[in-house]
Amino acid sequence: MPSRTVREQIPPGTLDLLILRVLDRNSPAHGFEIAEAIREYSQDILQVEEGSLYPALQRMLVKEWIAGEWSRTAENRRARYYRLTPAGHKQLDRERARYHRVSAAIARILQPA
Amino acid sequence: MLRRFLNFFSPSRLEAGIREEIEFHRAQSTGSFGNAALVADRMRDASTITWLETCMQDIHYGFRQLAKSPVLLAVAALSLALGIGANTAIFTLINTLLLQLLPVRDPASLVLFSDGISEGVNSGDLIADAVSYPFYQHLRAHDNSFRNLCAFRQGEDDVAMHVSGEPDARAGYASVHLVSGNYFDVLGVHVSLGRLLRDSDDTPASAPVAVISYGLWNRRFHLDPGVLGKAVVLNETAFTVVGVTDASFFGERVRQSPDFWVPLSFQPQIMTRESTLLPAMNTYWLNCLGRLKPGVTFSAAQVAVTAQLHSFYLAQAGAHPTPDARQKIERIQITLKPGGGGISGLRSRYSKPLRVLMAAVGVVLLIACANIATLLLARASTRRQEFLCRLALGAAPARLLRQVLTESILLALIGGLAGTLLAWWAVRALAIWLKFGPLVNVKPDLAVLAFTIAVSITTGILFGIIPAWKFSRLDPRPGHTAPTSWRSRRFGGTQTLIIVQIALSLCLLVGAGLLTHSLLALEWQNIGFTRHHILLMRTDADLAGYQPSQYAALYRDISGRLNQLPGVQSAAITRFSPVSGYSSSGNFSIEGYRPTTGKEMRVWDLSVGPRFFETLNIPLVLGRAIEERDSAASAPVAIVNQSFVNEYFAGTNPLGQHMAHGDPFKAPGAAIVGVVADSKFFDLREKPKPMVFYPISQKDASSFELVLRTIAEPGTVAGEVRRALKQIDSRLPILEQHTLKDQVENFLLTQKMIASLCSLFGLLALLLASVGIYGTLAYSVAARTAEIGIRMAIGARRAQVVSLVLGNLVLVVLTGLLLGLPFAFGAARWLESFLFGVRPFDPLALSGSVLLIAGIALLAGYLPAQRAAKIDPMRALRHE
Repeated sequence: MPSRTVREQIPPGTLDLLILRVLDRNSPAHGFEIAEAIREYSQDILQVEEGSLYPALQRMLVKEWIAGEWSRTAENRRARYYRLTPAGHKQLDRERARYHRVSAAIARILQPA
Repeated sequence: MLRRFLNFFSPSRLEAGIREEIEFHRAQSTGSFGNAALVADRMRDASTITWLETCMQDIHYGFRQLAKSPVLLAVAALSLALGIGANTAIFTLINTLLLQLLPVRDPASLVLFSDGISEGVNSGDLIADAVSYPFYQHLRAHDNSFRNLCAFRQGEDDVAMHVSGEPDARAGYASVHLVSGNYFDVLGVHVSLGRLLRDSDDTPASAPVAVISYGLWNRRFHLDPGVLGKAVVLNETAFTVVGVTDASFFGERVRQSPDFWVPLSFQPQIMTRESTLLPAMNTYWLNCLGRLKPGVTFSAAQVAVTAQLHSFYLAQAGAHPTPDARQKIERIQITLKPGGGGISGLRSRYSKPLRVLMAAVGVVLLIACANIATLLLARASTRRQEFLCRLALGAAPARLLRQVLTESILLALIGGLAGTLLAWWAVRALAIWLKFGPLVNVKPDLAVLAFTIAVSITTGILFGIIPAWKFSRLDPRPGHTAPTSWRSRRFGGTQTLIIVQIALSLCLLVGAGLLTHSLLALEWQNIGFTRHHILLMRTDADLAGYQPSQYAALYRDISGRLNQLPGVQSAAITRFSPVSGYSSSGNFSIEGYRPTTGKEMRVWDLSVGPRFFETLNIPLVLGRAIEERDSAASAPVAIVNQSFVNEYFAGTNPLGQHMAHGDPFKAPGAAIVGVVADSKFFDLREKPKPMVFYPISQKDASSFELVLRTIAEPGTVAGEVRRALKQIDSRLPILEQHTLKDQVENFLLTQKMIASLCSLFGLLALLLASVGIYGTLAYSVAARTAEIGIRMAIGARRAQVVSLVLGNLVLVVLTGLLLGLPFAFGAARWLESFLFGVRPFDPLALSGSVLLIAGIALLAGYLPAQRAAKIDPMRALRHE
C-alpha cells in the first residue's frame, strides 16, 4: 500500500519553468488550473503555493512571456486565462535546456566513481 | 516594461484584477488559501513600478505629515521663500546690471579706453578718461594692436530738430551722438532699414548724413520706410537720413538710446556752443572702442597705446619740453577696459552696493537654513515615539530615512516655489524703486531660476540629513526611549544652530544699523543750502535760436519776470543746480600767489545770476554777492566760498585779490568781491570743495537752470513759471523740471537702498531666529509635559518650571552674541567705504543690535516657558 505521498518543495528557480511547461501543454488555463496541473503531472509530489504562483504569474505577465485574458468558466464565473506567447515559448526552451544541463552535471557528480 | 507603466497608472484596475483573481482561486480551492493580503501584496509588487510606488507613498505621507503641523510648514516655507527669493532677486539684478553684454556682434572681444561715466568736454588737463581728435587720428594711423578702432563723443548733445518741409511751430529737440564713421562697423550693429554710417561719411567734404534709432523711427516717423532720404534739420544743418538701427541697439552707454548718430566731422554743427573741437590738441572729448588683433593681449595693447599717447603729446610740447610738462604727460596711463558691457552709470553706481546686498542675502539664506533645521530637529523630539514604534515593528531605517528626506525635499520645493514667486515680484519692485529705466522689464532668467532650484534642493538635502541621520541612529530597544531634556545635552544640535543664527543675525543687524546711521547722518547733515520748496527748471537758449550776444538780456528778463510771480519768494539763474550730477572744474592761478610745490590748484566753478545765494539760503560771509551791475561790460568779478579761502588765503583777506583760470596767471583775471559759506554742491559725502562763482552774464551759458524758492509746494507753482517763461519767449524749451528735494533724494538713493534692504533683512533674520527659538522651546515643552506635570505635582513653583524650560537659553543667546561679535566687526570694517559720519565701531549700532537681539530672543523663549508654568498637573500627568 503506498504511504501518504511526501510532498517536496518546488526547487527554487524552477517555478517559472513548470508554469511555462504547463501552459505549453494546457493552453489556455487559469491560475487554479495551473496549480492543479502541476500537482497532477508531478503525481502529487510538487504542490505550488498560491503565495508563489500568482506573483510568478504577474512577473511573467509583465515580461510578456504569457498573456492573460479575462473570460468565463464553464460555471459562468469570471476568471483570467493565461497562455504562452511566442517569447514565452523561447523562454521555455531556454529554461528547459538550462535545467537539463544542470541535472546532467549533478548526475555526473553522483555517478559511482 | 510597458506593462509595468500601464499597471502603475491604472492602479484601480490592477487592484480589482488582483482581488478578483484571488477570490476566484479561493472559491475553487477547497483548502486554506493562506495570507490573501500578503499574496495580493506580492502580486502587486511584481506587476508595477515598485520604486515609483514607494516614492508616491512617501510623497503622500510627507504631505500628510507637513499638513499636521501647519505652523511649521508656514514658518519653514516662509524662511526658505525669503532666503531663496531675496537671493534670486539680488542675483538677477547683479546679472542684469553687471554681466549683461551689449546687443552687438561678439561683445566679449570689445575693448574700451575708459569706462568712466563722466560725459562732457575737458579742455586743459590731459587725463586718462578722454582723448582729443588729433590723437585719435594719429592712433588710427600708427597703431598695431587693434584690428579696428572707432571713436565717439563722451555723452550726447541736445539739438533743435525739425523735418525739412514740415516746419514745426513748436521747438522740437532730439539727442545726437557724434561717432566716427566706422563706429557701427566696429560694434557690428544690424540695420533695420537702409544703411549705417561709413568711413566715407566722416570727412569734412562729405554730404551730411545721419542714422536714426529704431525708437525715433517708431515715435516720430511711425515706421514709415519713406524716412530714408528725408532731410532732417539739426541745429540749422540739414542731414539726410540714410538708415535706421536695429531695435535692440541703444549705443555703447547703457541707457535710453540717442535719436541720431552723426559723423564726428560734423561736430561744429552739432555742438554749436563749442568752437570746432576737431583740430584742438588739448581738448579731450572722445572715447575709443575697438577690437584687439588676434594674439595681442590687453596689457600689451595698453602699453602700446600709452606709449603712443606719450610720444604724441611730447612731440606737441615742442623741441624742448619742460620737465614739469614731461612729467605730467608721462603720468597719464591709459587703462583699457573690457567693452562688452558698455558704459553704465547704473553699474558704477550699484555694483558695490549690490555686492553688499549679495553678502547680506547670503547670510539670510544661511539663517533660513539653520532655522528650518532647528525647527525640524525640535519637531523630531515629538516624533520619537512614532519612529521608535515603526522601527520596532520592523521598518528599515533606510526607508524611514528616505521618508524623512522626501518630506524635507517637499518642504524645500514648496519653499522654492514661493521663493521664485517672491523673487519675480521683488525684482520688478526693486527695478522700479531704483529707477532702472529701460531695464525695468527685468525678469528672473533661466540661469537664476536654475540657481534657485539648486539652492532649494541643496537646502532640502542639507536640513533633511540632520534629523534623518539622527533618526536612523535611534535604538528601539526598551530603556532607550526616554526623551532627552534640554539641559541634559549641552550645546546639542538645536542649540548650536540657534547660536549660529544669533551670531549671523548680529552681523546683519550691526551692518544694517551702521548703514542706517550713515543714511541718517547724510540726510540730516547741514549741506549748506536749503532744499525745501526749491523748484528747478532747465532750459536752453541755443535751442530757441539765441545768439550769445542776446544771452545777457534774456537772463535779465527771466530773472526779473520770475521774481515778480506771486508764488515765488526768490528766483535766480544758474548754469546748473546743486547735486545735479553736473560739475565744472579746472586749474587756476592767483595773482602773486605761489603754490607750495606739488599742490595742484584746482577749483570748481559755477556761473550764477543775482539773488542765487539768497534763493538757496547760502549765507554771505564777507563782501557782496552777484548783483545786477555785474554785466559783460563791467569788470570781471568772482565770489569764492569759505573752503577756497581756507585753502589759499588762510588768515588773509581775499577781497580784492585777482584770480584767473589756467596756469600761469593771465592778467587781469577776476577780482574776488565776496565770500560765501561752504555748501556741498557735488558729492554729499565729501567735504565741500573750493568753489568760485562767476556772474552768468559774464560767462555766456547757453544752457542754464532756473532756481526758484516757492512759498507753497513747488509743484503748485510750476505751471505759473512755465507760463511766465512762455510769455517771455515761446521758443524756450523746458528740458527738465525737478525739485531740489527730489534731486538730493535721488543722490541718496543708493545709500537708502542698501540701508533699507539690509535693515529689512536684518529684522527678518532676527524674526526667523526668534521663531526658531520659540518653536524649539514649544516642542521641548510638549515633549516633556509629563515630566513638568510630575514636578509641579510634587511642589515645584512656577518660577522653577520656567527656569527649567528656559534652561540655558540665556547661555545660548550670550554665546551667540559673543560668537557673532568678531564677525560683526569684520562686517563693519568691510562696510567702511559706505559709511558717512559713523565709525565702524559705532557704539550706537552695536549696542542697539545686541539689545534688540537679546530682548527678542529671550522674549521668544519666555513665552513657551510661561505657558509651561501654567500647565495643569492633573492633565499633564494623564497626557501620554
